[in-house]
Amino acid sequence: MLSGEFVARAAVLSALAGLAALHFFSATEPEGADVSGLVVKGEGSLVSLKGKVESVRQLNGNIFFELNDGNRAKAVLFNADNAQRNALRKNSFVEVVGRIEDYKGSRQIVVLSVKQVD
Amino acid sequence: MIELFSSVLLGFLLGIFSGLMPGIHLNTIAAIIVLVSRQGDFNSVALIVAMSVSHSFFDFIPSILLGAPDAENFVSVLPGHRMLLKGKAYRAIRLTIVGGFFGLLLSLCLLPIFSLFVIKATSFVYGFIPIILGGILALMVLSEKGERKIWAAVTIGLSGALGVIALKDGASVGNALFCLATGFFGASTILCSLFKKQGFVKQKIESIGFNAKRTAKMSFLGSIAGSVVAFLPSIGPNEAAFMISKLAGRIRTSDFLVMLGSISSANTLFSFFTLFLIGKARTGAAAAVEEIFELQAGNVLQIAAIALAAAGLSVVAADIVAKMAVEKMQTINYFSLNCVVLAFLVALAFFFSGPSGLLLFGSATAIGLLPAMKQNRRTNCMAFLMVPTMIFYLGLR
Repeated sequence: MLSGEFVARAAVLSALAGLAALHFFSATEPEGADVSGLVVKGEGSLVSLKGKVESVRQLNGNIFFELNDGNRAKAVLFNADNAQRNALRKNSFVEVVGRIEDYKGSRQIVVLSVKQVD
Repeated sequence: MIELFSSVLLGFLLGIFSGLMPGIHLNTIAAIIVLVSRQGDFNSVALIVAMSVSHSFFDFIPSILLGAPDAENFVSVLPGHRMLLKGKAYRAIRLTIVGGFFGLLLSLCLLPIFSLFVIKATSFVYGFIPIILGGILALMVLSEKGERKIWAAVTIGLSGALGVIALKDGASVGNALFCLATGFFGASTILCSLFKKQGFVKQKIESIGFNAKRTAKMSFLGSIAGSVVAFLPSIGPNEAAFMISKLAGRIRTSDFLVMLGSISSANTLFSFFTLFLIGKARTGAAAAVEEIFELQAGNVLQIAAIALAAAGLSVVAADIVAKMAVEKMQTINYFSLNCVVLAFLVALAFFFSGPSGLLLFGSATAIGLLPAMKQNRRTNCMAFLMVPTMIFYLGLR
């Protein structure tokens, strides 16, 4: 026989487990954002942004560029491979996933992955 | 992270509001959320998911206590009303809560199987739907005795015809469905109570336990049914519950309510997974999520976590609210309450659908009274959904 008390306890445990799981899964899942919203996000947040690539510069295998979705944000991709170099061409539209970093007083994105979008 | 948790909590609270208020549809609130949300904002998705899950628990309360269902759970009115008349309304609500909770837990366990097999099974099941529905309609007539067979056929014919006329664009057109469902099962039940001058039966508020085996069985059945209807267009929780009740033979009222709770929460959860797996939104809430966000694999885990959290909160809160509601109802004049609820339903039908909605509502109410007058089952009125659904699956519209 399932007592009402058992069900209530199971429910409370489920609620706590659900919130804990949400916290865990969200830490590893990028949050959709736009450039203007970066200022309100915490340093280290994992975000996903879409925009046009501008001002591309390559140095020692690293790619420095700006992402423009109406507002501009600086971004860097370390140790870029060929596919990433191809995607990050000037005026291409891309979706990047990366972490927010404060660098010399301004927000930039340390890019972890990039893919070209239409 | 705080934003996300706040969205879950807000969604849970909104689900309580939409669930307890007859006529305030989940889809209406979801549509408003779409209008004010930023594209790609997962916090809005979290809000909609939490709201949908908590709504699926709370909407049984007005359905059972007031005979005022929404379009997703009107089939709970009759068994719920039966238990209300025996002084067991609180137990009826608790049964739907327990079914909803364990149904959701089982659904979470079934997700991998759902992803792998159900999509392939759907096209197989698709072809059998008209046959199953036709068979059930025939069974509904043949299972009546003597002259009641004729009246069952008349009820089915009239309900089916009204459904075909009203639900032109498929078997669930928002406001028309509300008018019909409320007329057939809500208003007609209330009118019967008024005609019989039924007083409010004293309600028992008991914390009786639940049979573990039967709860597990009905929750499992419900989660399977909820997963299948999450894929199939034009078939919702009510049709699924009704079909199972006819195909599985005699089911206790208490077991039926557990199964219904399970179907409701499972269907809510699986509708979001259907959106991810095949890109089809089968519920208003899933359609709202589709407008805001493109779900990725990682989001599916987040949605599962949100559903679990919202379900746990809902079980505790719904039990408390149900107890308060039942206690409060015992202090109110039942006749007056029925009159107020009936007037409210009429007003809602007019507000949402205008004079044509009122006409549908009135027609459905009149047909819904026929079974009571001729002593056959009011569930024969389910033909209002079954016939249009059969026509849809036969490709005749």
